[in-house]
Amino acid sequence: MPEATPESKAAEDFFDVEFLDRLRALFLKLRKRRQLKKKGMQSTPATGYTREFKDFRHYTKNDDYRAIDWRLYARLDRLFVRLYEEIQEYHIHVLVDTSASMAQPFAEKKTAALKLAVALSYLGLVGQHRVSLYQMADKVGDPLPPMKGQGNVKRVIDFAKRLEFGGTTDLNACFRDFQPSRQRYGIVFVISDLYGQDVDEAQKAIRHATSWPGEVHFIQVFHPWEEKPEIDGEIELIDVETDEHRRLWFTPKDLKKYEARYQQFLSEIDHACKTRQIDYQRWRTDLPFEELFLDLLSRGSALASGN
Amino acid sequence: MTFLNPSLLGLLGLVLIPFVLYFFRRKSKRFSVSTLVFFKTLAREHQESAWLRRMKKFLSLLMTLIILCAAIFALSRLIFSSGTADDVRTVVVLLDRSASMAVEDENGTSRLDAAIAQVKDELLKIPEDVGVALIAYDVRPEILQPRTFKRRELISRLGEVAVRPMSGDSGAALDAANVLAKLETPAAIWHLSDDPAGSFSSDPESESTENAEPEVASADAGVRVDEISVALPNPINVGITAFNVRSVPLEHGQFDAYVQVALNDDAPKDETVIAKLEVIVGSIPSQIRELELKPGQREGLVLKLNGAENQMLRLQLSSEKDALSTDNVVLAPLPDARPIVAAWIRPDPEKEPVDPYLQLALNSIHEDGQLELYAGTPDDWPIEGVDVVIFDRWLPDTWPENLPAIVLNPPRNVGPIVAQQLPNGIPHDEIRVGNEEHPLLFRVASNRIALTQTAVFSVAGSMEPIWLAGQEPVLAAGEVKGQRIVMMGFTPGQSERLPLLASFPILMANSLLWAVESSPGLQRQFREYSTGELAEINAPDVTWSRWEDGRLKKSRTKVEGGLMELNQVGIFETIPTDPKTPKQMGSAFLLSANESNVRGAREAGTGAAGAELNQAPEAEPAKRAGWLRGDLTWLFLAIAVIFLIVESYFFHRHAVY
Repeated sequence: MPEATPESKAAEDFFDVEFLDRLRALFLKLRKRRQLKKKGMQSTPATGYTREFKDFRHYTKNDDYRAIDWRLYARLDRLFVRLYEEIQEYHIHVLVDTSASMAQPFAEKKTAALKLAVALSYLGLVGQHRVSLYQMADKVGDPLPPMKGQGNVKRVIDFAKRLEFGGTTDLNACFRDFQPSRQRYGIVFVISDLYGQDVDEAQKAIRHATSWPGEVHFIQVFHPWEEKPEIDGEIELIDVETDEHRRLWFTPKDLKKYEARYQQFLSEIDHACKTRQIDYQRWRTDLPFEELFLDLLSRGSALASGN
Repeated sequence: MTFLNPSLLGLLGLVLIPFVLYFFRRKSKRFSVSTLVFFKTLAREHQESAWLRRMKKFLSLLMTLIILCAAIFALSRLIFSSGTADDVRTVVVLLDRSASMAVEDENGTSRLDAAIAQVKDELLKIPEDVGVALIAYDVRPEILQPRTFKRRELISRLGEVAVRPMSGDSGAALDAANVLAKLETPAAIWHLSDDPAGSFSSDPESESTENAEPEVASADAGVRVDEISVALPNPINVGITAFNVRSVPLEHGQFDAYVQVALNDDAPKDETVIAKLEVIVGSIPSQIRELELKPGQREGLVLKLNGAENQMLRLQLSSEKDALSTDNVVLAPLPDARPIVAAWIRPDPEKEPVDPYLQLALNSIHEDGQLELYAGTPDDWPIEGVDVVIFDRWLPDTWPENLPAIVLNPPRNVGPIVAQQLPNGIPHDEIRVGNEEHPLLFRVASNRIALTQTAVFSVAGSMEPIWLAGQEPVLAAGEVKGQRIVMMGFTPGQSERLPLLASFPILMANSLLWAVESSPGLQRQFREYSTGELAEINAPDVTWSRWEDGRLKKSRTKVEGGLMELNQVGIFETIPTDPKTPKQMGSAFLLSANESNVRGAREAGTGAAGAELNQAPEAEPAKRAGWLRGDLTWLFLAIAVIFLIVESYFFHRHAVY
């Protein structure tokens, strides 16, 4: 049973060298897995301006004449333009729930959320994608300006370190107000415990995510105590966000009810995401980070397949 | 308010525990949670304001204290007694065991049993540290249990108390109870009787109790008398309250019996009770009388009986719904009178001739066997061993003050006799009767008397003229300082018609019988006693004959110390060890107007089942509510259980708060 105020050790130095080494190793592992998976796959039909040759086609008006293959013209006396592989640049949006419930009473949730946000950003930066970091609580805060390139990893880490957790959660307002740019293909990661002021607030708020461009991933972070609390008898509960106090006489029967209700809550969110073709993953803080992260990326994320 | 087990009051210290738990109670575990939304969906969730929670905690404490105190009070047996044992250190149980306590109700419970049950019930309500004593009384009180703290001993003694066929005298019993009660005051005397009011006038002759001062008023300071009535509401009792039998003078085998039958005062007022009196002489029914009695009525009967001396006479009274059987039977032998021993002192016959008619009359009585006559002259005086002396024309110089005397023609003044002889005599053709009802004139025909007065005498004082000749008394009788004297101022021999009539011998016999009537041991060797008296017995064993269950039963009783308490109704006869010692016989009757006058309950509903404690007026405490009295253990247990349920329902049904 956790302490009455289970303030877990909040490791502020979780973005240390060791973590970054693990992140690189994870990235390599991910690329190896992606290369293995890539065999037999069709390349994307889109063409771009990379150096990777893809195909020829007849020259048409308004084509860039610099793309004409003169050698082929010399040989066939017909104009052909060379097509190159398209290199897509994604805009990765990482929304981190910074409400009080993410930091208290289980700091593991905060740690997991920040680690995940940094890992996703790192992956995006390494992949030469644009990365934007947001904090959200009762509203979506000012984002870290879009970054690109591996050199911005430190900025991301610094930003993550500066994030302050507190306040209440208003999922509906946050998801409604969050409107990512449509200029680039977007990948949105929402890292939150999805606890609102009401039990069904999350599943109602999720509908706003359907208007977001690109793919959306909801990653629900929760502590195992929240799934199965170890409480019994006379207790007083304090909501860390609202400071609301509740006094209960908690029996094993009530515990079973609670567990069932919590599982129902998770299932309802899962169902709400699936019906909207939104990826949803539960992130229990006691499970290994790498496994969950690889599992997240292997679920068909464009971030994982790109580059 | 009294605690029967005050030692358990120490448990009240346990109330500190709820206080400690209240003020130093363990705080509830506090948990910070990310969200409360899931807990809010639980049915048992409560949210209350702080003041409501504080009030609930206080209420919970209060209820816990009430439960604890009620349980401790129940264990300590807190009682709100009806004044029986409030603040007393001694309780003296004064139990009436007289004959009337044998009255049974429709369930067959006697008043004594009801009283004992009542005492046992009340004993449970007094603390263990109160001393108790037991006195039972009938004619006299008997301390059955001195002051003790052991209830079992007292209850054991109570079980030994039985009704005795005696009258009850609560006066002496109350005195004895007062003595015991004063051993440690304040004290209470529980007087249990079927007639507590009657205890103020134990004398059967003084029946009126209305104006009697309550005896409890004279109880000593610190001693309270609680009257507990166990009377039935409207008992009916017919009983024999007086009886006497004597042989008819000059008639063999003839007896006169006087019987008084009474119906109690508290019988139903509109009801006339028919009583049947059976007279059985020697197991043969002789007479049956039916009497109609109204409440409080007494009926006297004179029964003419035929029988032989020493033959058993039994009077059996019966009536419907009769409450008491002890006073329905009288068993007595017909009297066996011995001859009267008389001395006839007259002048020397050689000097003065004897009146032949007087001699004839005395001889006739002598021949009848009722008189042993010793004739003598003044020289023989004084004579010992006689019952009566007849002074004929002579008086001694010193008057015999202890001997009944019949004085004929007194010649001078001696002692109470103031007289003078008339030598020539005065003839009278007729006489006047001064008192026709006087026993001397029993069966004497006074209207045909003509006599010659030969002496005049004074009838001053208590002497009563019975015959008057002219203005002078010629026959007078009376008692002077306890001595019965009959004076005759005429001579039969000189009278004309008197000698020829039977009236003169009858008059002489009546005079002899009347004169010796009060002489002890004269008429019979048989003595009549009231039950409860002590009889002097000159033998080690006594045989009792009593009428029980329709037949005569005999039993043998040892007598120690020469005194026997007559504790049963019947006839006793000694069994002397020495054949020369004469047998003693006696009869013990209840014959108590008080006992036969069975009292009813003074107030409605104070019968056997509803016997209640009636306080003496000056000791009556404030009345309490009817249900808030006695042992309230049940009440406190009920309070504890009810509050336990209420507290469980309100505070432990769901959440603690």
